[in-house]
Amino acid sequence: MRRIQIVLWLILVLALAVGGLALWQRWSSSPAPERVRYYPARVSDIRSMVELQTVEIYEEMPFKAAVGGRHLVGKIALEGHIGFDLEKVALSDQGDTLAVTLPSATVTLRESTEPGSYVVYDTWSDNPAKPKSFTAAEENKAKRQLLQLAARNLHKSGAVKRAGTNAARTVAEMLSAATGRPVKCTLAPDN
Amino acid sequence: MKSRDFILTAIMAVATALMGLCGCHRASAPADTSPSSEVLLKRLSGVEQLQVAEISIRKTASIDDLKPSEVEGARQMVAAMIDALKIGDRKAVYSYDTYLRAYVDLGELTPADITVDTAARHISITLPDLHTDYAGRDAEFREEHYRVTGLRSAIDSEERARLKESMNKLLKEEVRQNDEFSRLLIETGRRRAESFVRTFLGVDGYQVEVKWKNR
Repeated sequence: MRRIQIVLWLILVLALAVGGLALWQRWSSSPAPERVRYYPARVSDIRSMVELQTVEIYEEMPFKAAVGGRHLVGKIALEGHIGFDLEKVALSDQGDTLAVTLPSATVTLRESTEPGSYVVYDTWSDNPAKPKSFTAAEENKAKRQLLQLAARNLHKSGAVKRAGTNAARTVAEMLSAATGRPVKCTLAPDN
Repeated sequence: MKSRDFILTAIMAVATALMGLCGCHRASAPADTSPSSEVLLKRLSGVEQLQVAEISIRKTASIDDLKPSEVEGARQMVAAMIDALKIGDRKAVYSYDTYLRAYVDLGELTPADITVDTAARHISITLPDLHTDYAGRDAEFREEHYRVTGLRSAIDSEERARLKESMNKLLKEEVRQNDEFSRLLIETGRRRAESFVRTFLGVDGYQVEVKWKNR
């Protein structure tokens, strides 16, 4: 009688274990909850241009913002280039020489598409009783300011001027090879 | 008497604590800080690239609670039931653009690729095939819609950054799997490159013939 009870208990425990394992497997194999819906990527604009790019830029920098006693710290990676719109080039004849003037440089800086290009490490408020989160508008404004600063720094460091010198040389070589004429290529005064 | 003293002491303690918290708040909010020019890594590379086309690809995502009618499986059903009990709504839609560009690498152009016949006033140029690559994405994350009510937590910067990262990964996979994006880009780029080269090199009245390598 006692043996039969033990066997029955063992069968019950085994049945519970198998049932539990089956339920667990069903649970873990079911799709995880996802509260984000992603829509298919679509083309929003297409443009053609002729831009001679002579410098590629990649920068990683800390991203710090402070608005109304709230603070944000993160990291951002930027990529871009310095280029010259060749359709705005001014051409003129100076005897045998072809004179070319390049337009002002365009500095294009955007957030990089490499993984981990924008990471927020921490946000906090000086007043614990108030919310610490930034709105998307506040964050976007801080990013715009950072991009503008990064572009200004490229001008200050002379990178834009060097890009112009390289572009002038490239354009002169191309035109000289094609026309057989000496080519003098200069930069716009504000480069 | 003892209970009255205790109540008075408790009131004083709470009042002191509240005053301490208020004291943490500055009389006037500090000025917003302007961005710093610190740099962790900087790389400037000299290149000779003629960009001829660019497309913007928009990726959109929405945040919303799970609805029981849309769930699959036990985990999602339980999550949907929990969401139904939460007080308030938490809905938002975000989007941003990523850029793909097409360019000619002028470093691949050799003197042998340009032939000039001065007698016939004819130039023949063979351009290297177009390259395509990513040209960055919008730093700004457009908030198309935001509604968080009741006792629901706000969608904060960390969550938005993680969402953008997921969207970036998915977008790159979609671009990799769908040739349509690069086909459109290359077609547009080729037309522009040909038209420009004919005009630019034909400055002295030469007729310019444009060909492409590997085509």
